[in-house]
Amino acid sequence: MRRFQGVVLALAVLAGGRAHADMVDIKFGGLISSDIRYRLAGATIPAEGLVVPFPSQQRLLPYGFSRNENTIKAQLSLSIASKVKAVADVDFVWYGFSDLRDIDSATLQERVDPYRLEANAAYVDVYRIIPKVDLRIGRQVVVWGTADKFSPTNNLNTLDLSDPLLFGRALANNMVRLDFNPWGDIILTAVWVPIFRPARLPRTAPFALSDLSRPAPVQEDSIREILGTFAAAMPPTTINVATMQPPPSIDNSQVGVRLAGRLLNQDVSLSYYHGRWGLPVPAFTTNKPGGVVDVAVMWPKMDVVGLDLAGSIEKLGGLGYWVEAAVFFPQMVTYGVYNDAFGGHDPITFVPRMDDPSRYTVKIGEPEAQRGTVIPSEPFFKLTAGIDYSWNKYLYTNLQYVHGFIDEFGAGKECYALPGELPGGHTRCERRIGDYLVLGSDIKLFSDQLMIRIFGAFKIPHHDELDPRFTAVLFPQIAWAVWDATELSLGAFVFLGDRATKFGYPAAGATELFLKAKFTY
Amino acid sequence: MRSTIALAILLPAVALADGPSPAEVLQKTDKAMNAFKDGMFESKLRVKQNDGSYREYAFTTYQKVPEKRLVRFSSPGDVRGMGFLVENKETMYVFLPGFQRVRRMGTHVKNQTFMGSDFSFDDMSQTTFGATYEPKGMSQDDKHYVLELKQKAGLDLEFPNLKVWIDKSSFHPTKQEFMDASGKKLKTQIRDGYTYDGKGHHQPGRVLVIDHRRNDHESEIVFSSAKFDSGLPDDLFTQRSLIRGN
Repeated sequence: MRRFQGVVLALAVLAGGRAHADMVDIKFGGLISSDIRYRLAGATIPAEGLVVPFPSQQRLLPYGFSRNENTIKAQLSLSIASKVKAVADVDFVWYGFSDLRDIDSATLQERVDPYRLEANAAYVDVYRIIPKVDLRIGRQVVVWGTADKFSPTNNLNTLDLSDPLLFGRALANNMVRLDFNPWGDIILTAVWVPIFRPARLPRTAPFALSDLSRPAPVQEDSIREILGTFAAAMPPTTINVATMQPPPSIDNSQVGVRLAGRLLNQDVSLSYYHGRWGLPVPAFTTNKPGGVVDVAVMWPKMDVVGLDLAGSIEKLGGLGYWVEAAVFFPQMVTYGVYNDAFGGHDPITFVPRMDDPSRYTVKIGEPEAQRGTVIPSEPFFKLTAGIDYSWNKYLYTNLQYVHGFIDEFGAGKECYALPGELPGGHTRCERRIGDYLVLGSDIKLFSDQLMIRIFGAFKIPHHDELDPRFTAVLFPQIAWAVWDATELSLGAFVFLGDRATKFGYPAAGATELFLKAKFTY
Repeated sequence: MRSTIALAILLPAVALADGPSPAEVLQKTDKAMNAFKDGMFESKLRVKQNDGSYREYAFTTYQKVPEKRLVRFSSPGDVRGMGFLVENKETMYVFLPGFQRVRRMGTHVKNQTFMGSDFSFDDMSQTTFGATYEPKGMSQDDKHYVLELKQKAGLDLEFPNLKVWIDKSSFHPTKQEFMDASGKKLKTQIRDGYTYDGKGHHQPGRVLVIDHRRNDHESEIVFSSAKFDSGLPDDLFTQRSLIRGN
């Protein structure tokens, strides 16, 4: 450790020229954790016969271990006076599953015991680079918004959805951030993100695109029915999903501006974001001979104008409240359908019928005709409004109304195949931007050493839904701080609903029991 | 009402007979506790466990009279980097380094304990008595004035009654008893190990809290250093500063 500090100091002195070793303040910390989870009543993902992504032993079974991780986190902070700070935050993660695709793999440590590296931060801060302006360059997370976890204005970093227990965690990305603080708590923040980084998806997510019975992701009922008829007539045997990543051009940079301040002692901010939605949407499909279907997904562009406020209502005992709203202006995404099954590459398009414009007829080889709409260009609105309150030293409650879950994007509707239906069968549709009630409580006992937490998110049926169905997630856990910086936790993440609902659909995930241990140093 | 008037008539008489009136003692105490423009305090919060050992949290407090306060935790690891900013009684923020986020807190957090200890957020933010309490009586011994305080009209405090032992020479509190409306003692706070820097600043070495509702459970804050009037800048007490963490 001493040698390491010496190297750091030497680097600081050499690099800084004027910096003196005794001026560098070094802070080192991190955590060591273990995370074991068991899956209950899920779907097999990937399905039997399909290739399992890395590591290949980690196929999600209906009943089986879904996570077996160990993590060592290392955080290093170097600062010189109150002028400069450099921060690194790295997770070394061992999957706990092997990746033995052949016998040679069994000779390699990295295949027998695979691991990965996650860099959560690697940035340099320069404070007051010019008067009242701070600069941060590097890999970082910029958090906007006042809501808890469900922040529609928080779009600069995409989400890490790989772990439902870390709900709302963002993926760090390389950015340039400027904060101009002219007075008090008025802050104007500008952020430039050169390269878009897509969200990290849960291991169950590809199921949505490889699910043979899932209806075509288009808004027009008639086109969806026609494509369903095709699927029923020529059921796909294999679905391959390709990605259309945004090229690293300046056009694909993201930018954001936010002005935050205080009005009547309430925190208020206005924000604007130009960039992309972090989750992929299907844009093309090509039917090939033998029932093979190639699907291509892309990350649509969007502009977001947001407003948030937060404060405390003294007349209600200091009740905390927050409201965060955003209007999204999405790039329109259409569904290009091609048929290669008969040797050509024929676009399949649609034209409205003369007698009923809501019904369509199919055109083959006429690319100028209409495609189905995946994401309409119509702006849509997301909102989170919440309150929280500490009843006493033992009990804390948090309640939020959420219009638009974190993975919901675009106006229109989302359709699911009803349970047991074959391709082209009956479906159930609901509004794409749903309404949810998220509520939870912490009970803290024994000087906060024992915490019992129960959180849940319940989907509220919309009044015009034809077939409303119950769906929810529950997150009960017990966390025991056995000693300073040491915590054991036991709990579950429970998905409720049938497969034609948001949380019951297998791509959303499945119920897991977990046992975690964490020591922070 | 009649008894209040009678008390008001009697109190100056007591003051004339025995020295300062309760109101004067209260005023002098508030003044002595805030006899600086700003302060920086290094301290450890120690929460006693059932086996007699202590859990410890190290933190630095920056304070600017009258109300601004910034608290930064340095250990243990699970709270390192966490910070609280109190701008005034109604405006409080917490910085959570794991989320890189500053969150506005409703003042309901005052109903919680401070890091699971026997200190409440009110204990941590108390800089004066006179803002929330008024005297209802006073006695004295050779070293202390013993002020009996009650909450001001219109307030709904956790402890409507307070008894405070005030050192006659420094006008700093050495002991406080917190009581409910019926006068039942719920909590005791002891401030000892006072040091004087020769520049008008008295600083306790330890603040001990005993919560009688929890079988006399104890927590204490032990101060390792205190620095006064070093000219802390106003922009230290901002959300930007909370994020910077240095």
